Amino acid sequence: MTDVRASRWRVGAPATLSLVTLGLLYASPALLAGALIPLGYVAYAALSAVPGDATVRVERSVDDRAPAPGTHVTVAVTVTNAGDGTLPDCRVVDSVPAELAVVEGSPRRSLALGPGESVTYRYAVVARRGEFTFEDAGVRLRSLAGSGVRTETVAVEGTERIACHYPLSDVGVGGATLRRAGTHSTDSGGPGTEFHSTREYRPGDPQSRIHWRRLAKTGELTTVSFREERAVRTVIVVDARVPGRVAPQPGVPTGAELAGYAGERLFESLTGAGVVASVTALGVETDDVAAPVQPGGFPWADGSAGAATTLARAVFAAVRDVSGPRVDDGGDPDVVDDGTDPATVGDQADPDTVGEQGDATSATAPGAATDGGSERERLLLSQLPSGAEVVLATPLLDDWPVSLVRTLRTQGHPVTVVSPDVTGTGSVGGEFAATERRHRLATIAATGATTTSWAPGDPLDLALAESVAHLTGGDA
Amino acid sequence: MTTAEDAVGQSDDAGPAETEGSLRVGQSSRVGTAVVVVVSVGFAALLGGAVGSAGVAGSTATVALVVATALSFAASLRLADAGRFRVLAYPLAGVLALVVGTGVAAAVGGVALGHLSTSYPVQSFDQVRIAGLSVLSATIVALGATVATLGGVASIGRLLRGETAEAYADLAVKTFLVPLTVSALLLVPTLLAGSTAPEPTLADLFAAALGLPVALLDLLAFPAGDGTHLLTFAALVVATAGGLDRALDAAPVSELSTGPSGERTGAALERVRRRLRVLAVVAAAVVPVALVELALAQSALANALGPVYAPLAAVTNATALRLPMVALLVVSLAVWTVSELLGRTVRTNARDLAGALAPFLGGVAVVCLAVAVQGVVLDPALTAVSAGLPGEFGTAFERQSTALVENAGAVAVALAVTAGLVGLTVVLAVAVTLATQVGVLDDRATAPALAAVGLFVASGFGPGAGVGAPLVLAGLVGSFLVWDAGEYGITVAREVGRAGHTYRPELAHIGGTLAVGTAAAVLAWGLADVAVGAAFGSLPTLRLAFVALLGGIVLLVAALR
Repeated sequence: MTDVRASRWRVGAPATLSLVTLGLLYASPALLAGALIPLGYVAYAALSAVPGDATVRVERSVDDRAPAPGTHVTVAVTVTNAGDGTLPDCRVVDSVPAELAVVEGSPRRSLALGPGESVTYRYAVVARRGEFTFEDAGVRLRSLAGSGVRTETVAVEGTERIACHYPLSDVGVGGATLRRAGTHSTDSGGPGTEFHSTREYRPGDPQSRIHWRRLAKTGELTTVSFREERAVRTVIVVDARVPGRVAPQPGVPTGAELAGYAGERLFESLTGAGVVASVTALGVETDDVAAPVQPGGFPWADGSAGAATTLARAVFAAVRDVSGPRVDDGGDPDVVDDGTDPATVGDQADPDTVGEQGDATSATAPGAATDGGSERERLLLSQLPSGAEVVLATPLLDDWPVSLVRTLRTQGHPVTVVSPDVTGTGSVGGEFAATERRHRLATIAATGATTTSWAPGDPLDLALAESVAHLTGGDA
Repeated sequence: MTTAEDAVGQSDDAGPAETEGSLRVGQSSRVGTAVVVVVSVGFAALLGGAVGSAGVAGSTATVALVVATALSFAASLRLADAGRFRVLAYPLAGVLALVVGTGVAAAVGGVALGHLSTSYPVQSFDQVRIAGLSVLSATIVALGATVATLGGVASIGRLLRGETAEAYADLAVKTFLVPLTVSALLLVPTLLAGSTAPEPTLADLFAAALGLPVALLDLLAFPAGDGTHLLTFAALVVATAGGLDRALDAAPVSELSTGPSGERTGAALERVRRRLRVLAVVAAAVVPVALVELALAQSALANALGPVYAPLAAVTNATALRLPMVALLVVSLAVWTVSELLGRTVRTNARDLAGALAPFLGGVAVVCLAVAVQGVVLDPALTAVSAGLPGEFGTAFERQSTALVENAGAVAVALAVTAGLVGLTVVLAVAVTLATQVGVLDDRATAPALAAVGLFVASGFGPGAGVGAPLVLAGLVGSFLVWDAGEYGITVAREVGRAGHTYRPELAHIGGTLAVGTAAAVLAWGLADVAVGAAFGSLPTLRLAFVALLGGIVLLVAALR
């Protein structure tokens, strides 16, 4: 705790002197008497001090201690004057962990508290993966004249920590049982339980499948085909390429991070429901990944392999390693414009450069194709089992996923696209990017794929519920 | 983890964790800014109106003029802070500097003239000093009120800080230099040579101005009169040798010659330059000696020098020597200038160059403006001034100004007046910058400090100009309130940010300051009343003095505790 006397009213002495001088010069009693005014201020400043027994209590509460990444967490801080005197100026600064960004309100507040009075104020932070601890709050008290200043650190009662975990990586999911015969009905006929179609009898067909009723009616020998039930392969493709590694504000998870998170949740749900899911990721560094790397530079965690979950965890870890915000890269003014680059956040405050960034148009579609997009497509497609259900988790910030989906659809793969929306910057550039993204979603939906778009503030489970149900064969 | 000091101390280096409500240094809270603007402009208007003698309508017009000037000042401060659009912003700021200077001059000058005309004619001789003091006090009050308005309006946002004041002063000085140079150039031929024709136009003046260097060269090449002209000869030798040396240095000879012949050329060049420098030094040594030529008459010189006189006179008068030297001088100056400019242009990039030249563009804009409107504005302005001056001064001023306009041309006079007005702004800007650097004005809360100083000065000199005691005391309280509210608001905004809803504590603080000030002012007013009727040694005075003494002792003890 530090107690200082601020010399704010230093001007009083020279002011008194000059007034006395002027008063003598003009022989004016008004000026001579007016020298009382600065003298009065000097006396006021000298007599004003922070009461010695002033005490402040601070409590903190959080509305969600285990949020999903990207959601807003509201922190409520209650400041109480526990002493007997009035505190005319009490400034409180709650210590927000450095990695979390404040998006609404402010952790700093200036309050005037009577004895026993208590005030609550709120601010909101964006959750990111990890555990974060709030430290003690700083409090600065001033006397009424501002001449006495006391600064101290106050231990905060209440919530100290919020934790945001990724399901697969942080809370170890045990190896999911793999059931070969899945619950997913297919459109091809063969052995099964549900009626599908009839065909002419061929020698060798099992007797249990002969349509006896028709034989009795018409005398024809026909065989019944049922819906084949087999374990359909699902492939989760996580898009962690460069165009997606942007965030609408500093401190908020990037599109690639959120796509990785969605992929993890999906993998967890699917394996829990007994669907065989393979995982692959695009745009990751393949040097250290603990999973087999296919030609084309993407790691592949095969769902039917023995240690499928471990391999999948390795792939998701690789996604996390690269999906932090783009750090420097001034070169390509990309689609999501203002504030995406932490290096340029400072410039965001300067009105002269915001306009420059906001004017950037989406000349970035070639950026996806210039790094051998179609070649990568071909290699990826060659790895997919035929008829596999593809789930693509991508922020959809460039056009390459659209062409991938089109190709997948022409080859007959059912496709589901899950896309986090990171274009909510509120600026003109952000609106433009959001419109482009909606257009891409519409294009994808027109090819017959299922699309799910979700804004990071909304609960992911709700958004995924439909897709997951469809994937696990609930209501095919 | 950071200490509480670090946590509370600075809001502006909070980093990515705080994006909401963070602000740049120097911006005040809303309450603080509102109080500063309202109180400073309000009291400035009241004090200015109290010394102005133009009635209610005139006072309102003056107040409007001063507010417009303050807005121009604020706008030009904002433009002087422009990062990227400097080429567009600086010229505009230069023109606005002219507007500011004109506004200040008009407001203060109007008050001064008004007081002059009411004070004169003086009844008796001993009243001259009193009347003069009254006029001076009124002018200072008007100036203080104007400065207070400028400071008050500039406290919105973060327009006036130590660094912006410096940038603005720099800009103003550069803008000032252009009309100053042009008007000097146009006036000097008239002042030196007398007027050539009545009411010379701009073209006449330019021709006269260009004729000056030609006349100088003519004088150098063809000296007038007989006798030795050693002084001019020596000076010419120095100038030519020095100029040639500089020209050879600046000229890209070494860049143009390459290979073995290049080395020889370089060595030869060095030799030549060394000899030129030696020659220049020798001739420079001769110059002080040749000064005697001015003191002595030629006959005395002839007697002193004897046989040397005639050859010396022949050599120093020889046109065959002088003319080539003059030509060489002109050529080497031209080469030097062109090479230097080219070299600089090549080394700097366009943006820096544009940024460096932009203030001078403002000066050019001011000159063009003055030339364009001089026909419309100059005559009415001069008439208004001569009408405002009382009695004999008015007629004398009118005579002198008409003569000057006829001799030097309306354009030159208008440009000189324009330069003077911009110079007024320069003085203001430089004064604010110096005050900030010395520490008289706070570096962060510069605008509220400026407004407070303006109000204080205006109130302090009020009684001398006839302002009543209540208004003077109220103005004093107002100046302290402005300073306190401004500085407090900036501190709050720095520690808490502007989005923190700081109304209650700020209003409490400002209310405390206002209460203390009002109490002190009321006490002072009562004291002043008593003091007027007081006599030394009378009982009421003694009682009051005793009470005051007791109060002072109590306060002293309390403060020292």
